Parts: sequence; C-alpha cells; structure tokens
Amino acid sequence: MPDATRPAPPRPRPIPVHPTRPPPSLPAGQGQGSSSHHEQQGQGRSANGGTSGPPPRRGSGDHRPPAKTIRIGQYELGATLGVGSFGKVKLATHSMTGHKVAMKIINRRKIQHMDMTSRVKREIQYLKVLRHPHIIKLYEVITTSTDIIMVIEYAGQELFEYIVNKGRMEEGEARRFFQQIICAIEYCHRHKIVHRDLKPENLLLDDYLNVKIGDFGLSNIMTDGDFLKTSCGSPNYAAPEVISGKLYAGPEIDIWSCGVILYVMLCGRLPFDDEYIPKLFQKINGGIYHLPSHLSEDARALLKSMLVVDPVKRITTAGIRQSAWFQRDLPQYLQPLPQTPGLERPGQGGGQGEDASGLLGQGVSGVASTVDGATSAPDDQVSKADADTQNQGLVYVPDLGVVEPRIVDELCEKMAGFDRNSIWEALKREGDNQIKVAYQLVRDHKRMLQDTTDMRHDNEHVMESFLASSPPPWNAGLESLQQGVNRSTSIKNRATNKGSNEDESWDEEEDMEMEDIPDSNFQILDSSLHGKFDENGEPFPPYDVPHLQSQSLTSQEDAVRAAHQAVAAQRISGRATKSSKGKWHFGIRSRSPPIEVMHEIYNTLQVLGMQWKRKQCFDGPWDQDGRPIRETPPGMTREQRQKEKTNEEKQNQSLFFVETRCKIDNVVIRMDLQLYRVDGSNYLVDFRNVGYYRSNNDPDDYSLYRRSSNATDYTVAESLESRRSSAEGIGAATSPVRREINSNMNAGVGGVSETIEGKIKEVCSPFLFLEVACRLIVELASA
Amino acid sequence: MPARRPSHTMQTFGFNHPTAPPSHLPVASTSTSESTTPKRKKLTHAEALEQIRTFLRSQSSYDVFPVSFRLIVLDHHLVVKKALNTMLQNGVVSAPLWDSEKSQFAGMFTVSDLIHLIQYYYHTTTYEDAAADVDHFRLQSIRDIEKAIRVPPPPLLSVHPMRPLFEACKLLIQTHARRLPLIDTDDQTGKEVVLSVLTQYRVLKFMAVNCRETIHLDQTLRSLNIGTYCNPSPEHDNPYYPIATATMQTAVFDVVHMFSELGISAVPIVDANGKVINLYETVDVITLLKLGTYQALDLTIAQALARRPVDFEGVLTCGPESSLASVFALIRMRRIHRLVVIDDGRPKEGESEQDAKQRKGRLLGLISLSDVLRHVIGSDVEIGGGGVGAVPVETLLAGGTAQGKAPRADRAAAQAAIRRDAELRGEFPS
Repeated sequence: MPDATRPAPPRPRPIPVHPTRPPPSLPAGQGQGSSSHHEQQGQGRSANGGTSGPPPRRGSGDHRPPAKTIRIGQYELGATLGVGSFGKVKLATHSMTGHKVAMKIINRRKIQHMDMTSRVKREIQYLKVLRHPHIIKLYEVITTSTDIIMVIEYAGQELFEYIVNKGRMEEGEARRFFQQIICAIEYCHRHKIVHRDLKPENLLLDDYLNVKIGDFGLSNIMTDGDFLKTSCGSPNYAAPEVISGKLYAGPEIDIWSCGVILYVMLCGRLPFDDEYIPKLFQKINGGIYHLPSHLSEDARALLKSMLVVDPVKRITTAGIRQSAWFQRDLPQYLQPLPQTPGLERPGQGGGQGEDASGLLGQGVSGVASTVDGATSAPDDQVSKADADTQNQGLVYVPDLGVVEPRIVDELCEKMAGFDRNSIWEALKREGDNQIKVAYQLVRDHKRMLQDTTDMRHDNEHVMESFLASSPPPWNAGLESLQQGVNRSTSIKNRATNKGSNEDESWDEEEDMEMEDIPDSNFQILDSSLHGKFDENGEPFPPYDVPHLQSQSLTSQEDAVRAAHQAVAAQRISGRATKSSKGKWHFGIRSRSPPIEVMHEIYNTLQVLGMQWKRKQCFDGPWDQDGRPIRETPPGMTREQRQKEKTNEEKQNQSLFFVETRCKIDNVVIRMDLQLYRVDGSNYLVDFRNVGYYRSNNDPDDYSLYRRSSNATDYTVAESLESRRSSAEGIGAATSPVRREINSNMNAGVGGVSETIEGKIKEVCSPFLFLEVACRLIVELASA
Repeated sequence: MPARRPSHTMQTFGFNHPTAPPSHLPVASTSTSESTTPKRKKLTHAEALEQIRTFLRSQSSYDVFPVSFRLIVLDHHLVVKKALNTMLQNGVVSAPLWDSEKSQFAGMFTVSDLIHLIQYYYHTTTYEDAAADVDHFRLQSIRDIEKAIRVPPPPLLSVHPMRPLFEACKLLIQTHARRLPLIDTDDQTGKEVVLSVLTQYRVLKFMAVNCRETIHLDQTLRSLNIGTYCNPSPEHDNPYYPIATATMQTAVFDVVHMFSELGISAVPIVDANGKVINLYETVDVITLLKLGTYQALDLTIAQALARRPVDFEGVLTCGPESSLASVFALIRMRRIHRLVVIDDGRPKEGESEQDAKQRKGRLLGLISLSDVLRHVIGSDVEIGGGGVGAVPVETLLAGGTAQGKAPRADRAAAQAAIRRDAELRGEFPS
C-alpha cells in the first residue's frame, strides 16, 4: 500500500530508494525542483533549522480548495495527497474542530479483486493497536458499500524530503529524530509488531518536525512459529537476512534499517549503495560501508553496533537506549516506561549480553486480538465506582506499587464485562494477569500525557497531536500479551537458527570477505553478474575496468535501464511466486458437512480394502465393536444431542478421529485419520503415521483387514493401542488448531517421529505411510 | 515440508569441533590462537591431508547432516514435467527416486538426466512432439532413453548412513551424479528408507568447518594438479584443450550437447581474446526450461544468460597460484560448485607489463569440487564419467566390461566389491 500521508504526487527523489537510482550522495537542495508547495516547506524548514524551535504552523491555504466540497461524515474532503493501487489518499478537515486528517480510501472491489482483504484488515488492525506520539494514528474507520475509509493522522512531510533539502544533519538534530524513531520502534516491538519497511519515505514529519512512522502496510505481526517469510522493503534499507531470503524473526531487521536511516541522516548518503543489485546485496551481506571522519566517536560506535550483519549480534533497542550517543538530551517523555508484568520475565534485562533475549522477550508480547467480553452491560458497575473506591482505600500491590483508584475507575469504564470487584481482585492477586497489564498500560498512557507539562517548548507539540487523538483502544490484545511470554524462548532459538537447516543452503560466514582469504585471489567474475551483457552478448558497460572512463552515455543509460527492468522483473517474479505459493496442508480439504466427509472416507477405505477402526478414547453412544459413523441414526434424539453437548470435547474427537490399517507386502501400515475444522465451513482430513508392524500372513489376503476377527493382528494391534491411548491424554490437552499444525508437521516429516505425542515412538520410515496416504487421497479425489 | 528443531549453525554439523575436539586430532584445539602458541607444530600439506582422512574415517555420513533437514523424494511414476516443477518449487536440482511398488530406492534424478532427455528428443523428434511427450513422460522411463543414447543409467550407487564418511566420499567421486543417497533399512517395515543425499559441497563444507587442518593445505592447486588445465596441443584444434568452451553466440543446444557428450557440468564462455566472461552450467538448463518451452534451447548463450535469476551471485574465479587451504576457506564462506582459473596478469620473468596485462582474465583452467574431493580422498579413485562412451561406474566397479548395462542386481555386488576392496586395504574396520 502506498504511503497514506504523502503530501504530493511523484517528484524527483535524489536518495536512491533502490539500487538502480544512480546518485550516491545527497547534495542539499536537490529536491527543490518539486512543486511550489514543497519549496515553501523546504524554505520554512531551513530558515528555522534544527532543533531550535517549531516552524510556523502552515496555513490552510496550502491546498487548493476543491470546487465542490465533498463530505464524508464530519470530514470535508480536500486535495489528493497520493494515489495507490487500491485507491486515493486525501486530505480532509474535520468540520467542527478544523483538524486535518488524511483519508485512505480503499476501494472494496479492488481489494476483493486482488484478494487483499486480509492484508487491509491486517493494516487496520496494526494501526488501531498502536498509540504512540511518533506513530501515525488511526482515528476511525468508515465503511461504506463501496469503500473502506481509514481516517488517519496527517503529517505533511517526509523525513526523506527534509534530508534532501537540508543535506546531512548536525548530530544533535539527527539525534532528536533518531530518539523519536527508536522509541516508536521499541514501542512497536513491545507490541509484537515489526515494521519491516523502515526508510525515510515512511518516516513522516508533522508541522513541528516530529517524526511519525507511517505505512504499516507491509508489516506483519510477529507470530510465534511463523517467520516473516515475505521479503519486502527497499533493498538499500533492508537487513542482510532479509535480502538473502533467510527466515527472519523480526525486531533486529528494524534495527538494521534504523542504522541505515541514522547513517543517512548523519552522512547525507546511503551506507550501502550500488547500481547493480547483486553488488548491492554483496555489500549489504558483507556489511561493507564507510564511516566518514566527521562522525563523533559515540556516533560511530552506535552505527557500528547497529549495522552488524549477524542479526544475533546486532544491538537491540535496549542496547541502543544505553548507548551514550542516544542518551544525550533524551527528552523525558521518551524515557523508558515501567515494565508491564505481562511483557517481562523477572530478573531479566540489564547487561548488554542479556539484551538480545530481553528484547525478544519484549518483542513477542502480543496484541493480536481484542478482548471480546462485551457480553454483559457494564453500566451498573460504573455507577458504583466511587463508593467502591472509597471502600478499598489505599491498596499496595508489590509489582504495581500503590494502586491508583483513578485508573481503576477508568478500567471499569473501559473493560466491558469485568465488574469492579473482579478488577480489584485481579490487581491484588499474585503473579501476572491481564488486568494488571491493562492497568499498567493505562498508567503508562497517563504518565506520558502528564509528562507533557514538564517538557520544553519544542516538545510540547509532540503531545499536542497526541492529545488530540481519540482515546486509544488500550485494552486490545490483552490475552495474547500473556501468551507472548511463553513464546519468547522458542523465538530466540529460532532466531539463532538462521534457517541453517534448509536443504543444501548452509549458512555462509558473514564476517569475513572472500577477498580476505590469504594466498588466493578469489573474485566474482564481474561480467557474469546480471545486467552486464545484453541479449546479444554485447556488454552494457565494458567489463574491462581501464576502459570505464570512455564508457559512452548511451551504454550507461542502457545499464540503468536494464537494472530497472531487472528490478521490475524481480518484483514481478517475487509477486508471482508469492501468489502461487498456496497454503500447504498434508491431507484433504473439504467444504462438505463433516459427517459426509467421514462417510466418504469410510466408503473409500472399503474400496481400497483398508480397515476402519474407531479410536478407543471414545465412549459415546456408538456400540463397542467399532461400527462406523454412517451407521448412526441421522436423526438423533434430543437427549442424545444433549448428552453429546455435555461431552462435546471428547465426542468430537472420537467422532472424527479413526484409525485405518492397510497392508503392503507383509507390512501393515497404521494410520490415523482425523477431521479438523480449518475455518468457517472448511474441514481438513489429516493423516498421521501411527506405525507399522510386520505380519506373517499371506501378503495377498487383504480381506483379513476388512474383517475384524483376525486374532494375531489384534494382539499386536491392541498392545500398540494401549500404548497409544496413554499418549492420547497429552494430545487432547492441546487445542484443535494447535494439533492441526502439529500433525501437519508430523505428516510433513513423514512421521519420522511423533514428537508431539512424545516418548512413544521410535523413528520410523515415512515412505509406506506416504504411499498409503497418497492412495487414499487419489481415491477420495476421484470418487 | 521442512521440520525445524532448534539448532545452532555450528551444531548443524555432526559434532562441534571447536568446543569438543576429538582425541585423535592432536592439532585441533579449542582456541584460534594459532600464532600465539609456538609449541604447536605446523603441519605439512601431507600430514594435514592424512589427519583429515583419519577424521573422515571416524565420522559417518549421517554426521554430516543437521539435526533437521528437508528431503524431496520423487515417485518414479511421476511425469517429468511435474517432477521438474516440484524440484523448482523446492529449490533443489536433484532428487532421489522412489519405486512405490517395490518400496525401494530407484536411483537419482539429476540435471544430467534432463540433459540426456533433451539430447534424445533432439535426435529423434521435433520440439513440438518432444514437448507433448514430456507432458506424459515418466521418470522411470528415462532409463530406456539413456540406454538408447548409450549414457549411464540414473546412478544407483548409495551408502548406508552409518558407514564411515571416507567410504561415502569414495563413492561420491565415483558416481557421475556428484551426489550419493544415504539408504537405510527401516526396522518396522524391513523396507528401504532414503535418509538424505550427500553432496560434494556438503562433505567439503563439513571438512572445512570441522577440520582445522585444512588451513595447513598450503600447496597450490596447480602444483597439486587439482582441476583441469588448458593444455593445447597440435592434435586438437581446441586452443583450450581439454576444456570445452563456448562464446556468447553459441547456441544453448550446442552447449547442452557438450554437457551430455563429454559428461561435464560447466562450460566457460570466452571472448575472442580468450578472456572468460561467464560460465554456463548444467543447472542453468533447468532455469531455462522453467520458462516452459524447449525452443529455449535455440537461444544463444547470451540470451540464455540474460534469463538467469537477477540475484545470481556471479561466477567465481581464482588465480593460478591459489592454495588448497584458500579453497577450503572459500567453501566455509559460501556455496561454490566450481572455480574458473584465470590469468592474474602478473608479469612473468622477462615479460613486459603490457604483455602481461594482455593475458589478464584469460582462461587457464577449471576446478570442480570433484577435483578437490578426489585430492583429499586420494587420487587412486577414478572419477565417474557421465559422457557417451564413458565406462559406466557400476560396470567398472563390478569389474565387468559390458557397456551401458548395470542391472540393479549388480548394484549390491558392486557395493560389496567396494567394501571388500576397502577392507582389504584396511581403510576401515569391517
């Protein structure tokens, strides 16, 4: 999604956003060839310069008033700020307060067409969740029959333009921007959100030169177990692990980008730049950049620690906070917030060494879902609020300090579904709980607002826009905050893993360059890199270095064009592969009613001569000798239904969970079939390898397994069965969704071992299992 | 479908050399303080080599693999086109085949099979027919084709995962597939199981990471005669003999023909002055065919190279005086398959600087991982050829002379022969 609040249509951009843009440096004032609107801004800014004071508030005359005012709700639509692939971004003014906002108008048909609904939903979800003075806020979402309109905070300028106009900054000025950026990023990471596309174009400036991070269109909530697989962002700002397509876990890629941004602010040019993508990638992967001599020692140290190729060794936001360069002149409102119980493990943080785990611990705290407790009316509780507060008196809770009744009032008001007493009880209870987290969030929020009064004139305006915003949906995602804690460890492990277990893609050493190897002169053959030769085998630029000066202008242009095409091709191909990669399940998906699916499976098993056997955990209304599901009377009595409901969990499991056996040669393959609900009306039949045993019977006698009377088979089978049912208890504890993933993974490994069920099975071959599963799938699909 | 278990980069290897040096390696130490500990004797090239071999005998093939990895196995009933798509989707260039009727391993499907297929169709049919045929052509039939054009059948060599790595390395050099499947028998079913595929790069990387001795391999590639070097003679009109080369204007098909006929996997692309400008490899054929049509084979090399992925990392070159140690250092660092040796333009005795500069960038030789592996293992092992007329490896191993026929039954005999052979020489305990 294009940027929401970009103030104007295309204009020349001297900082190469991607490697094909030639100028490597940023002469000041280059951006002034743009519209008069921007010139005005630029001049205004440079006159004011730096951190000294706020520039004059821009008049409303900046934008041509439209001939006829169009209104959406309370907003009068103004000039178009930008056009994206899904719709326009327009400036709008609130008719009553005169507040300027940006409206991102998304055409519903277009997003449906491109199957983007989930992406837009995601973006909206992110923005709703984020409340920070330096993050673009979403005020409200207006839905019409044709459009989804996001009303978002308006920030008139990009940090990008600012740098273009000003050239490189003094360290003090850069520090101010950097502090704001880091604090906003830290906030995002605490809420499990990684921006993933940080670059000066996404960093907007409000009228008081405060940074507002926008464009969360590409970010992705860091979900446990799911690496961020989509490669996105501008190559120049992208971390090595991003461009080399490794699986990456999140927060550290934003740190890299911030490092690049800091470099750009301080040096006025990109740290990694090259006309040719492969070269650029090489530079990024090798971490090859030059630190100019004008930088202070502290700044150099900070840059060096941020632009570390190995994501595990890279500094974290906590580490940055401790750096000398960052701490200088840090405004009070950006001081670290007190830790919330749901976000931190006790005894953590502190030393630099622990920071990596500390940040990840924070990073995975969740925000994904809103508390959906609006089942009972909260109003009657609110009326009691004052009296109750009086009764409670002063309450001290070890991890919260003295509880402020004022905040409890607010909690009562906002947390529909919780009464006052239960909130108090939760606050007093030992250990973490969501109410405590909510309490701290509200307290942090309040504290942030209070701090505005102590701030310098300059910073006052930071808060002005913040205060003007609608109240934050602060209670969003409390449940996942809790879960986040448990996840942190696994993420850490995965992060250090760096995808090294990918087949045939061993990790490459990143801290040494090929050219550094002694007694050799390994080189990459320059002429073999992309864009060096055209289709006729004619070199674009001559590959012989001495002739480079005599290179004609046309060939240079050709090269640039070729590189452009290459980038475009890459983008296109990237998109194509993304869309073609479906979600993989091992098993069969179906939209039919579950009972029909099971019936179909039953029939198919019969056709294939496979045995149908109920799982033993089941004690429902079915008879004990394993009569199949289809034999059940379709019209169950009311009592039966009632009974079924009471024992629902167990029954559902057994109803759609059967074992099948089949024989290949002299080997009997045992396989579990289980039906899961994926979503809405989609069901997934999952296959699980239970194991094999060898039978001495005549290998051709398949009928044996249709009859359930063969004694020898069953002695073996029953003993396996009993071992298995003990494992069942473990499995049943996990949620259905979780199990689906788990068993899918099991199937994926081909049942190398049933790690989830644990401790029971030794390694067994996946091949026969896969063969049987495939037969079943093929038969089911053709039936 | 990858499965993941937490593991650190270093731990993906069978054992963690830096922290737990095995007792049989006196030189390997926990620290990197090579220069500060004067007592440590610097090994000669030969000593280092011997220690590496000892190490390889102490490890099994299984140790090379990480805790968790992905394996793509194809059913040999699969249609070639689908098989190719699957391989492309999963980013692999070869896959073991599986015979689901007999529940056993059915050979490797590699780029060379594809190249043979192209070769066959070129000689027997039109592109249109070929394309139509390929839609229905099954992997298991490739063997018939390969018999028809008299090239070795899909390599059937394999090794048990728990056999010493040294043994696997020997087989790895001998098989023309440049990769060796690890095959075990499953206890529960009594059937074969394909565990993974050992590649040359994997083994060499394992050595590079785990054997500190590799830094003592200080002799130059040239002096060790590792690789193939230009040695023009009046009998051959190829100025780079025995290296096959092509120009930017050569048709892809002609290069594919070289691959097939000579049993090679890469052809340097040179300009009129003999300077190397690129390298066309067998894997590039896959990229080309990904685009769908076999007409792509009529393209020139220049056109074909332009279709390489944009993020192609480039062809690696080295100078003639590079040491073996430096190659291992490079292997530690990045994934390589071959190196083009080019003239570094350093003036020789009595040569003017101008003349020397003229030579710079010219093709001198080609080094493949097989060459490196063969040197490490010992040069007494024949490299398995893949070309027309080459003696099929398995016939070679079984001591037979019949060409092109290596029935499956012979495989066991061949393996047994190798084992006997090795045991007789006392290379590993039986």
